[in-house]
Order: sequence, then C-alpha cells, then structure tokens
Amino acid sequence: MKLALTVFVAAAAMLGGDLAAQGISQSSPAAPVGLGYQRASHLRFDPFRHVMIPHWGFVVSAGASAANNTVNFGDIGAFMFLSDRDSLLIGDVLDALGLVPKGVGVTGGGEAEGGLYLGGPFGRRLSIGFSVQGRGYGGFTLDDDAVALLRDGNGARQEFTLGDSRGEALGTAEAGVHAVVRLGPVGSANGTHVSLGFGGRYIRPLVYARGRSLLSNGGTLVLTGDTIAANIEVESLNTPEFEFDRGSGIAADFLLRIEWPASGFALEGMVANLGKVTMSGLERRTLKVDLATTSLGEVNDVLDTLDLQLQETVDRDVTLPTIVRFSGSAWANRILQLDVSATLPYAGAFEIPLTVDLGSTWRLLRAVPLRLGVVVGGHQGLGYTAGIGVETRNFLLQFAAGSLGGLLKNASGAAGRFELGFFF
Amino acid sequence: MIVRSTKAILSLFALGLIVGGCEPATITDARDQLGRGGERIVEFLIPVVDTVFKVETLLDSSRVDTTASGVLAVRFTPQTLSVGIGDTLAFIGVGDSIAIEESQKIVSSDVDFGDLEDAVRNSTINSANILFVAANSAGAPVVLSDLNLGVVRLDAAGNVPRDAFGVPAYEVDSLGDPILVPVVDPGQTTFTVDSAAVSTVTLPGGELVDYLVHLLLSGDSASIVAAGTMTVGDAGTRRINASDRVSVILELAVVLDITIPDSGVSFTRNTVQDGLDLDSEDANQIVDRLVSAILTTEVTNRTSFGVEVDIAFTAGDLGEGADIFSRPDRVALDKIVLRRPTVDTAGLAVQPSTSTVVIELTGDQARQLLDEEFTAGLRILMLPGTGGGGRGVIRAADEVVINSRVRIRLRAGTSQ
Repeated sequence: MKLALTVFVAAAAMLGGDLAAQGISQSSPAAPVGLGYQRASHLRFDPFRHVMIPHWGFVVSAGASAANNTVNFGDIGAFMFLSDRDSLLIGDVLDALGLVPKGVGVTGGGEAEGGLYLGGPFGRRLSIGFSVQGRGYGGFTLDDDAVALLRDGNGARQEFTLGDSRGEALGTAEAGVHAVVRLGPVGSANGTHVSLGFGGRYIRPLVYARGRSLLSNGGTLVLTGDTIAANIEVESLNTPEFEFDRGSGIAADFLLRIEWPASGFALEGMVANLGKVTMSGLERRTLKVDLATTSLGEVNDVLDTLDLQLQETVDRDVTLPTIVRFSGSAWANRILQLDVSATLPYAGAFEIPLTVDLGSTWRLLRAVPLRLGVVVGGHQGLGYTAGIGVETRNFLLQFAAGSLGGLLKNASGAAGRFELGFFF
Repeated sequence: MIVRSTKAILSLFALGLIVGGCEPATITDARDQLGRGGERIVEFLIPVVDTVFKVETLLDSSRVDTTASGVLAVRFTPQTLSVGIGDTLAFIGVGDSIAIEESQKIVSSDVDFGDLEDAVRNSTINSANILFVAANSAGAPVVLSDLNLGVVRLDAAGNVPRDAFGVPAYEVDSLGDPILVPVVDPGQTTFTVDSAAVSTVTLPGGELVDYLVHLLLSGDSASIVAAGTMTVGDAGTRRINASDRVSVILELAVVLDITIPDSGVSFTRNTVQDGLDLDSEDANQIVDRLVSAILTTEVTNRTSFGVEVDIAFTAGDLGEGADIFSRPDRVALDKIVLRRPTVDTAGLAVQPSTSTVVIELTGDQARQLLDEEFTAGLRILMLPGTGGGGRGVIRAADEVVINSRVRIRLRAGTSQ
C-alpha cells in the first residue's frame, strides 16, 4: 500500500504543473467558468461527473429518473384518488387502457443512484477520484399484442400474444475509482485540450428481479366466438431476500473529451457501464397455461389455480446496460452555454431508448448557473429540465429536476438530482 | 449568501411540488382524467356455451332402458302379485280350474319421467311393454287361461270398484270396452308355467299403460288387476306342498313413443344460473357503458320435436317454484324457436334441423346477469314434427347441439 501511494505521488509530480497554467484566452466565452464546471451537469448516469472537477474535495450526490410512455402523474393521481375511496371500477381500468399507444405497448424504465465521491488532482494533468454508491436500474415492456385484447377487444382480431413483454430490475452497491488525464494545449496556449477518462467499479448485486415469456414468440392467446385457447409460459427470477454476499461484478467506464476553449466548443464521447454482474441463489419460478375450451367457466377455474411454481435456484450473469453518449457544448457568450447530448439506445436487458438532451446554462451570476433544457425521445417523448446551482472554487450545490413527457401533472416521467460538495 | 441561496432554492422546490399537485378534486374529474385517451368502442366476442344436450339427461338414468330400435323406455318399479297353490288345493281337486284375481296398487312414485313429465302428461303413449314373469314353486305345472291384465281407478277407500256382477270396473277405451291385456304365450291362448320353473312373456300394453300413467300423473290412485283362471297339475303324479305359490312380477316400461297435439305441449321450468358475480358498482358501470350485447345461438335439433321457448329472468336465486313471468322486475326476451323437424310416420326425424337465434340485450336486461346468480323462467312449448301426425319418439341418440356466443360492445374513454 505504501509503495503504491509513493508511485502515485511520483507520477503526479512528473505530470505536475499548475492547473492555472492550463490557461485559456480571456476573450473566450468559457473563460469565466471553472474548469470542472464547463462540463454540463447531467441528470443521467455519468461516472466522470465529479472527477472532472480539478480540486480536492468530496461530494454527496443522489439522483433518479423514471419515465413511461403511457400514464402521467395526473393519471396516477386519479388512480390513487379512486382507490382511496374504494371507487376504482372495472370501467376505469378499461378507460385507462385507452392510454396505451397503439402499436407500441407500454414501456418504461428508470435509474437511481446515490453516494459519496472523494478525489482530486495529482498535478496539472491527472485527477483521480474514488466513489461508493448504490445504484438501481429497471425497465419493462408490455407488448402491444398483449395489451390489445383488453384495450381493443377481439372484435377485429382474435389472436394475441405476450410478444416481447418482459421486465427486469437490479440494485447494486458499488465502489469505484476513476481517473482523468488532461493533455494539451495542443499547438498554442489556447490550443485544443484533450481529456481521457477511464475507470472501473466493483459491484455487489443486492436485489434482482426479472420476468419474461419462455416461449420464443411470446406464446399465443386465441379468443373467438367458438374457442378460448391459450399457450403461455412465463418465468420469474428473483433474489429471495436482501443479501450483500450474493455475487459480484466489474464495470468499466471510458471518456474522451476535446475542448477548443478559444472558440468555446467542446465535444465528448463516453462509453460507460461496460461489464456484468454474476449473482447466485436466484429463485426461478414458472407458470404455464395450456388451455383450449369453449367455456368461460372452465377458464375461470383455470385462472383460480394459476400460481408461479418454484422450480430451482440458479446462478445468473446480468449484463449491465451499456451507456454510449455523445455530447457537445458551445459557449455562445460569457453568459450562455449550450449543450446537446445524445444517449444511444441499448436493446438488451434494461432497455435504454434513444434520448437527446438539449440544455442551456445561464450564468447571470457566474457562480449561480440557471439551467433550462428539453429532452427528446426516451420512453416519454418531449420533456423539460431545469436546475439551479452554486458553483464556486470551494463549494458545489446543485438542484436539478426534469418533467418528462409533459409539464408537471401531464408528465409521464420525472428526474431529479442533488449534489453537495466541498473542495479544498 | 450561500445560506440565503439555499433557502431560496428549497422554497422554489416546495412551491413546485404544490403547483404540480396531481390528485383530482372529484371522482368525476378522476374518471375524466383516466378517459383522456378519447372515446372508443371495445368489442368482445366471447363463447358462452358449446355443448351437446342429450335428451336422455332429462330422465333418471337408473330407470331408463333402450329398446332394440334405440328408443328410450322408462321402467316402472316392478310389481309383485302372488297366488297360493297349496292352500287353495285343500278345497279343490287336482286338475280343476280355479278363478284367480290379484291386484297391486300402483303409486305415482313407481314411475319417474323426470323433466319430461309434463310432456308425457299432455301426450298419448303409443307403446309400452309389460314383462310378465311367473315363478311356479309347485311340483306341478300351472296353466293360466283367460288371464287378463287391466287397470282400475281405486275408490276413496282404496278398494277396487266393481260392477253389479262383482267384476272389477276396468278403465275403458273410447268405445266403452274394458282395456285388457291378455297374458298368453306367443302363438297360444294360454300361459303355462312348468313345475318348479319360471316363465316369461313380454306383452304389448301401450293403451293400458297410457291410461295407467295418466291416472297416476293426474293424482288418482290406481291398481293393476290380474284376473283369470288357473289350472294346476296334469295327468302325471305331482307333489304339491301347502306353501307352494305362483309368484308374478310385472315390469312395466313406457316406450317414449308419444303423440302430442299439433298445438303442442307446454310446461314451465325455472333454472338458476351463475352470473358474472360483479359487485353492484362495477355492474352498474358496465351497464352504463353497454352499447350492445347480442347473443347468437345456433341450435342443431336432432330430436323429433320442435320447441318454442319464452324466457324471462331476474337477478337472484328465486327457486324452482317462483313464477318469474309475473314478477314486475322480470326481463323478458324474444321467443326462441327451434324449427319443427320433418318426421316419418313412425315419429323418427328424417334429418336434423338447424336454427339460429339472435337476441339483443339492452343494458337493463344485461344488468340482471351481472350479479352472483340469476333465475331464468322458461315457458316451453314442445311441438310435434311435421309429417308424423303428431307422433314422435325419443331416442337415446337424440340431442340438441348448442353453440352460443355473445358480442358485447362497451364504450370506454371520455369524448374529447
């Protein structure tokens, strides 16, 4: 341990220099913004969020986002209102099914994280940060072929299927180390700056759940005037209880950022969350329905006996959702910074749809940025984000929130973030 | 400054939460919220029943036989008659003939027509068999001559009424002649039971059994009377004990070959069925949203009769005896008609007939079906097939195939 620390300090000294010497033109619009704060704050997963700040300190942060493509907060409030008054009836559920977009089905997902960061620079070119946090991912899809029976009936169409319906959720505890190497300026004192980020996280899975159809085409459900037939088989996989020592995993994160400070531009690419988690002791349950009848009474009898049966205990590898994001920033003037980032879609477990964030940061007071933005894509369509913070040499405070898919009551998703940091 | 900024930021957030309050003010607002997807019609086509109804299930299977031609026959409880030989011969000589008369009261519980009782009550029985089994315990043969079976209506005291000559007052036919069934061996004029032996003969007794059945179904008391002459012994040396007897077992069987009037035979039934078992609020909401409910039933009639049915129903279990049709809260449906099949002169259907019945239920009518149970009253008019002169037989193979489905259209969402 002592040797490692000695090597680190020596390397820092070799790379060392005064960060202040990484100067930019005073005429650049980016000039008033602290180095670590030039990178726009994100409501989404960003493992390099704090290590990019070139000062020693610690940050406590938490954030979450969740969205779906069907119900908004007003709908949820209506469900709760009716349910609290024992007035939620079959017809209300039938009405709500009309909210599911045709041809799409119901999709939704979310993520959450919270933890502590401690880190800082070693010289002018290297920053290293350590983090411990908890994180959760979740996503679900209810195929339109499964919803259509109750939403539209079987007057025009008699065959249905579970299709691609599935759901998955994972909660983890993580400890990570990330580093950023700053190169440049290339050419001149105001030349291009390149930042290379890399890091890894050791992951302990805490809770996990998954549900899916076991039949490759989702099975079949046929309802005609003469026949009720179903061939469906589903599986659930879950951790039976909260346990810390259930498995482990490793995730790797990478970042490449290029800045043209004199021109006020920056481009960035990030690939994060590359890795998987291995879990043991998962309970696997299945449920099978194989029915062909002409009698509703027989259907009711079968439904009364349905139950997920425990089959076995299994081990499983879960691939983490890979995050690929491209971002660009521009400093229009000394007050306004514009950012755009695109998070590419991920089609595996915890499906991530394509999402584009367009943001603006207004520094009417240099240390108090106001952030306004829109989100396009994701599960919810159009959304709005806003935030406010205090960013100084020694202090960081951030509040940010998003109303996704609409404003306030009409939003079908929400996001929020809080950060509090102190730097020395 | 940092503290003041933090306070301001927290206040903004709180204000945001209040402004963003998501719960509606009223139930109507909540329902309008959930219906914001727009009004739509949801149509469900659901099978209700696909079944084969065997007519013989209307009868008690423990009392039903099938004749060689496949026609169902309902058995009476076997009746026993017994004539003592030994004690009688104490007063007569061997080889002499003695007059015998034995009667056996028949009660209504001796025959069970199940759910066909009303149909039988209002029809003419064309065919019935009487199995006559005689067991002779004596060591000498017995010859029964001029032995006839007849039916009498018992008097108020339960006795066999007699005419001025002491002859039982048998039921008579339309010409006034007593309805009698002679007990004879095939091709013979007498019936012989060998010594220590059993003899059996099947007698055609359609008209006699028809009168007997109608007396029983109308609540009258009746007896079968066997009267005639018995001759014991022959030229050989025979041994007869004082306890020797001739025991007779009568097994009557009504062959379900009946003639019903062209205007048909009507009877009523109540049946209690399971409803959808929705609670009251759910049921009322479904009814409010009902655009249409159309019940289509295809019936293939593989019997020799046509049927017209009036149906009325009401929520709840009102039992078998309630008159649903007189209740003010009843829901009456349009008449269901199963076409009369074409039958031959023997009463057999030439080919099956198919009918399609379509009934449209209103919301109020459908409401009765949504509780836990409902009672349906059926007024059934059973009609003869065409071409058979009103005659029809009920066979073991007779069945009605019913395929029924309902198309329900419900309104969902709120008009925008």
